[in-house]
Amino acid sequence: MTDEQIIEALGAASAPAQLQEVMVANARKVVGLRTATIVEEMLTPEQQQIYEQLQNAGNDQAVWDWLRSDVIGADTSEVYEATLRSYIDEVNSQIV
Amino acid sequence: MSSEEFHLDKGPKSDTSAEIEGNELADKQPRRVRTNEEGQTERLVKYANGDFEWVPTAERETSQELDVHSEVLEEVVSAIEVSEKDNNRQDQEITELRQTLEARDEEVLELRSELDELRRMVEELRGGAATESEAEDIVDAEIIEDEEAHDNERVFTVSSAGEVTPPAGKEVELYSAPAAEVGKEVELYTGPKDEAETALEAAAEEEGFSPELSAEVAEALKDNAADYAKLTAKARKGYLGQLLHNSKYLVKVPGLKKLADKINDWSDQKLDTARESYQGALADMQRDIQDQFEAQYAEEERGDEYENNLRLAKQLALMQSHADLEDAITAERHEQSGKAGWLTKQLTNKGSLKGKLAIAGTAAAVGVGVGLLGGGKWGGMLAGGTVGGVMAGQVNRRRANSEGEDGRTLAESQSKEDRDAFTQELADKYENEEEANVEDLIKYVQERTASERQGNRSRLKTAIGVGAAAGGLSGGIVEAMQGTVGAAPVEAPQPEAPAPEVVPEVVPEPVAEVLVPDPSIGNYDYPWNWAADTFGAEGATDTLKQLGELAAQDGHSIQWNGDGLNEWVSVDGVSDTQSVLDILSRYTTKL
Repeated sequence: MTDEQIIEALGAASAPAQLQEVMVANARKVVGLRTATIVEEMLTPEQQQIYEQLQNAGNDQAVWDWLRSDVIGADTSEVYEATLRSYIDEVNSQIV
Repeated sequence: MSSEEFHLDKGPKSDTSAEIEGNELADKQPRRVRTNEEGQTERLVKYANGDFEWVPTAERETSQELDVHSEVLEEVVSAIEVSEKDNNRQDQEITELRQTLEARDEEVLELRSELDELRRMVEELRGGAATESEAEDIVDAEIIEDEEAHDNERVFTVSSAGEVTPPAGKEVELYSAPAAEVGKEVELYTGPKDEAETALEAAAEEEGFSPELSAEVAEALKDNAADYAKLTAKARKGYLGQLLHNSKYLVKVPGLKKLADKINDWSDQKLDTARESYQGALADMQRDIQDQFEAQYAEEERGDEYENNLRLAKQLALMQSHADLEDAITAERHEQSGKAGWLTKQLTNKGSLKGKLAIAGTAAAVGVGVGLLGGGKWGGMLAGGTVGGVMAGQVNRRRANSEGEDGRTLAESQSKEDRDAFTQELADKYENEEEANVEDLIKYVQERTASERQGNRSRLKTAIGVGAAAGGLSGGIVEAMQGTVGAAPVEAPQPEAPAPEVVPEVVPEPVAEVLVPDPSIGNYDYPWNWAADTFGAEGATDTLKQLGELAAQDGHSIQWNGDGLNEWVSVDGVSDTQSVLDILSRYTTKL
């Protein structure tokens, strides 16, 4: 989802731009951390070893590329997207 | 024998002779056909009992027979097709079952492998011990021994007063607060200030930003969030289960279905209870916000816009609380597991989690933003109440010489805070068995007191500047902070929209003519792709950031958003690729 789609889904299209910016930043922060929790949980012990080796090599980009290469058996971006949609539902359902 | 001998039309014959003749004919030419006196075609038919007769062969009957045969044939074909479909479906089911079985086989193999590994470890550890429980005791003893040895290896010592003694031979220079003259107000942080920020400070002081959110509600929210965060770190499976099983989207992601199935027994009573309590506190917070809104406006003043702003305020407070909770969860994981995953670190801007988490930059922006929604008093309420006085922390003008309750000046207190942070970070490093790098630790302390707050300042500045401009609030930030419920709503920013005209403090300086954009920028979907093609994939992000810094020096407003996979940059408030590259690519010659 783009930032604009996030705002739309949150029903905040009429909010001032800076509020929208804060909402998007918060949403992406929450979703990013949740996605990290899920992805790191899904690594097998062998993958965990590779993961650590890549980290120790100090090349962050290499780690990102590796995580994007479907190592967890699921598309990382798909996990992020699903987490994002879930979070938007969560926010909308919690407004009293 | 000629055919004439059997021609029945040769003349009348007796019944007996005709019968004999017919039988002979039927024996020798059983498919004989003739034309009778009426011109009809007849076929000689011989029955099993030896009788024969000439039977008219009507074309119509033949056709009907053919039709019947065709129908039968169609039924047969249809039956075959159905059968083939069934076969295909069964084949597919068999294939799926085989795949499932193969997957399970793999799981079983993995589990067996793990089991074998565990058995081998137990055998190794047992080393003469009679039972597995004795082996477990050996493991426990080894762990304790390792921990003790590790403790003894610590080379830094930390006194109860927070003073750190470095190992012999290493010089450690701790950060010290700037010298302050007694009675003189000083700036503790020397980051650039601009009109917007100064106006914000003035507005903050004028409004007071006193917390109006019920202290009881704020305290309950804080406590419940802390309890829930602690439990999520302890009950990792339960937390994952909540994430996966409460989402209608996540379980549809193929790989995640397997994980969700794996942790079917995720339910954790304590965690569920903590979650419910936290959600209850969130609901109370929203009701409190609503009470505050209602107290500010009479019933007849509450229209659609009021309702919309109330909803936005609740939503904003909810999302800020969620972000704070995720920070707390990450911090708890860091504390309880001794380390946080690389990905998590990436998504929290790397570095010290504790230090980073202590600073909630967006929180202040929430207060400012809600102020724009409905007036400074609401902004103050949220800034002071919901986000715990972070706004006050953003107002960086400090009275360095004023003495606090502990008898220290503010400068001294802050110096001590930094030393404490250093100490804590040091302890964390050792706890987490990470390499203790003195330089890093010093840098951390210094960054905490300078760069990070400057970053928050920059973030606020951008948010305020862009927001004020987008809202058509030409009167400046003070007016923006004191805006009314009738502040003009703005449309969501469009991806292809041209750079908005921002308030003077963030309007970029004109770019020198010699700086021209790279003509190839139109070929790229994202700035990173352009940077990777132009400078190489390794370090592309760093190069973009360098270009951003150069552009910032030229007066452009550069804002990095998100983290890791989702990090993106906006230039002068616009984040579409072409606009960003149009500016950044001009500075490649200055690298």
